[in-house]
Amino acid sequence: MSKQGASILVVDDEKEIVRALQRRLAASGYRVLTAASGQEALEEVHRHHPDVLLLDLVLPDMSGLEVCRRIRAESNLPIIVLSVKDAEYDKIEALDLGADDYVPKPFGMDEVLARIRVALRHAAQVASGTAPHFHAGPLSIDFALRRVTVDGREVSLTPTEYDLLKVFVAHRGKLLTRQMLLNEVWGESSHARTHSLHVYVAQLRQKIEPDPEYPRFILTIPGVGYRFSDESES
Amino acid sequence: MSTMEHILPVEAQNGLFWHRYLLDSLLAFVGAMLVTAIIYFFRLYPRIPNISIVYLLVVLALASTRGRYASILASLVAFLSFDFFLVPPLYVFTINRAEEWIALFVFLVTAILTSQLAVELRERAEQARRREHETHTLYDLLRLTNREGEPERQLHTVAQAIVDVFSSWGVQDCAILLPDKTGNLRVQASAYQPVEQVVLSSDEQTTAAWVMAHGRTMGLYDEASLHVSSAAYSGPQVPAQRGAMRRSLRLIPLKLGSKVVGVLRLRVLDQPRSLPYEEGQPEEHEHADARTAFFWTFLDEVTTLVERARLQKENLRIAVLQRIDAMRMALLSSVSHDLRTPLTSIKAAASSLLQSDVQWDEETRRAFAQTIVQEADRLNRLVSNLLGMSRIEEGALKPEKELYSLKTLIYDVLARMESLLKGRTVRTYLPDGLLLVELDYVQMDQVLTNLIENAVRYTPPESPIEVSARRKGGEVILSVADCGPGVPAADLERIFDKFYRVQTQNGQRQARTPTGTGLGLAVCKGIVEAHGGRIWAELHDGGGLAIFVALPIGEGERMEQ
Repeated sequence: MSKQGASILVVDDEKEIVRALQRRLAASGYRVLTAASGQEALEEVHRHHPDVLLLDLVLPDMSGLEVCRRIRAESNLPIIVLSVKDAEYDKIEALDLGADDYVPKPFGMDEVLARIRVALRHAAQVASGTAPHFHAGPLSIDFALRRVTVDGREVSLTPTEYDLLKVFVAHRGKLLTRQMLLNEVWGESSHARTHSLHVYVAQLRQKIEPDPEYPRFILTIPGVGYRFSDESES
Repeated sequence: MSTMEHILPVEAQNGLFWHRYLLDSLLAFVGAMLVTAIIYFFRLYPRIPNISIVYLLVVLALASTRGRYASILASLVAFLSFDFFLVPPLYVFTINRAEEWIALFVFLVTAILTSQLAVELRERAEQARRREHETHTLYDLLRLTNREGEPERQLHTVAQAIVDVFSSWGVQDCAILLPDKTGNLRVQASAYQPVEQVVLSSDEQTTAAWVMAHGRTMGLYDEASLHVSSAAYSGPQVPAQRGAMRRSLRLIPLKLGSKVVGVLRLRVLDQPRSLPYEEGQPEEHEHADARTAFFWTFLDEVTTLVERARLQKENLRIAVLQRIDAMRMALLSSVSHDLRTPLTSIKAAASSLLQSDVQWDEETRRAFAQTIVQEADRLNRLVSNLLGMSRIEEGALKPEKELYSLKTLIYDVLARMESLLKGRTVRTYLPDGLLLVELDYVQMDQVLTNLIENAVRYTPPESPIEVSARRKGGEVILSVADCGPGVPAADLERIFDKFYRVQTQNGQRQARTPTGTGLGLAVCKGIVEAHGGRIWAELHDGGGLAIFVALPIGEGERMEQ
């Protein structure tokens, strides 16, 4: 269930896009605030403390990256970046700067709504900490015993695969860039190992996905990174 | 440049003037006096009355080797010394007997006339030799320039040739200045420096512009910004400080008829008789005329070459513009068509939904919405291809290769294209294992998307599509095959050309006019080649078209167990 009445700030200088989002989000019961420039967005954030920010990276007065940086400097407000698919570097930079998620333009409304739900839930989870157990469909993990089972059968993971899975589960629903994953699993100064990241992900999929061809847990976000599906969202 | 042949230089000016006269005088005097001395000591004169003929030998020798001045001087010295030392009364310049007077006078006239003839003969021979030399030089210039294909190289050759040929006249460096599009003079070629390193001072720039506008030669002192007023150069004479060794810059207009096509910038070591200044002043130093004429002839030739190089460049530019124009037309026509098609569907569906007089049932409404979403996706793919194409053309497409499982990529793309593939059988033939390949995920995603979209678009709705991948040597071969009508065998290579579309022919294809931009496969080709791979098309037995992509595996080979 989506958190009814949550307020969402939509920042985009394209009126039509703002209008479409506003209408759809309002229909889902959200309160919608809008801003057409970076400065306006910062003011709205200060004045109304929205629960989620939908941020276009191309704004008339300042770059969306700058907005992202300034907001992150003072709050944990979930930020979902809206970006044209081909501006790859910007969206990765935004994510590395602390944006929580990204939706490529042109987007489908269902996608935007799904990302908003995840962001809201995530914000609520932050305080609760990590549970010792995780269950999602056939997959269950006991973090205390480092035991991973699929359909009740135990799966043997290498230490790296286990660490990777743990990072994914801890940030489930959140989009993780390659750099974030590398830092979390291998520590800083590991940028040279991007190669092996994709290989480990592919191997992990073979072991935990019921149908590795059409993964339901670890999803590829082309050009950006991976997302561990938050199954309860649907 | 080091391989360049050098053109024969013109001969150096024969030393300094006074130097030459001194030597001539000395030779004439010594030669004539030597003969006098011999006649005197052996007392030959009265015994052989026409002994004075011996002098003619000396005169002729001087005439044919040293020229007019030496021979006439020798004649006079001979005349006087013969009279003084040999004709009685001795040691005075008087002659008593009339026949001796006549003999001596005839000797003088003969000596002078023969020396004149000899000198003229010699000059003709020399002239002929010089002409030949000059013709040869001009011919060399043409030959060397013709050998260079590019206009830039031709200009460079011309500049070097000028320095080579006229170095003995004090020319040390040469640059060719031509007007650019805005009319500003720019250094286009330089004999010894790279063009970028030749920097014109603002003074030079203004002077060059003046030369260009007025078609008159100008000089500038090289070391200082001391600007010699233009008035000093309107006349034929060389500037002040004759004889001083001073470096100066000479800016000479390159004239073609009355039109000035460019400016030649010569760095000259000034000598009293170095380069001529202005053309077309016939009264100036007559004896130097032939050389000067050659200089101008040479410059005329240079001008023609420069103009030819310019025209060649212009032609190239026009050809490129025409090609770009044709490309733009093709792009415009295909893009406007392909943007309109999905837009039309979207508008039709959306306006149907808006109609208030019809009550659509839920299923129809969904179908309309589906159309809108699908066609919007198609527009998005079209834009991606346009962007991809422009990146490929700019050379800005750099794959960020990382090791991925090709199988994951294939399944990802198939899942994403689910709605387009509705109602189709898609068969995949993939080996066990991850099939690790080094690739740029986003770019190869686009390749596969384009291949599948093509297969869907050009084949009947129910026909199956096959996607397969296998390792072969150090490569992975990916293929997307359809069971459609295929393309004519002659088109198998051309389908990868930009804007190329298989012409609609009779039969199955007629009903479905091709709707692609002709960009999809061209983008695939660009991306695959940027990955160091290959792409090609084959017709397979069933008649369908199969596109193959071979990618080097890279590190994947080592990583895969």
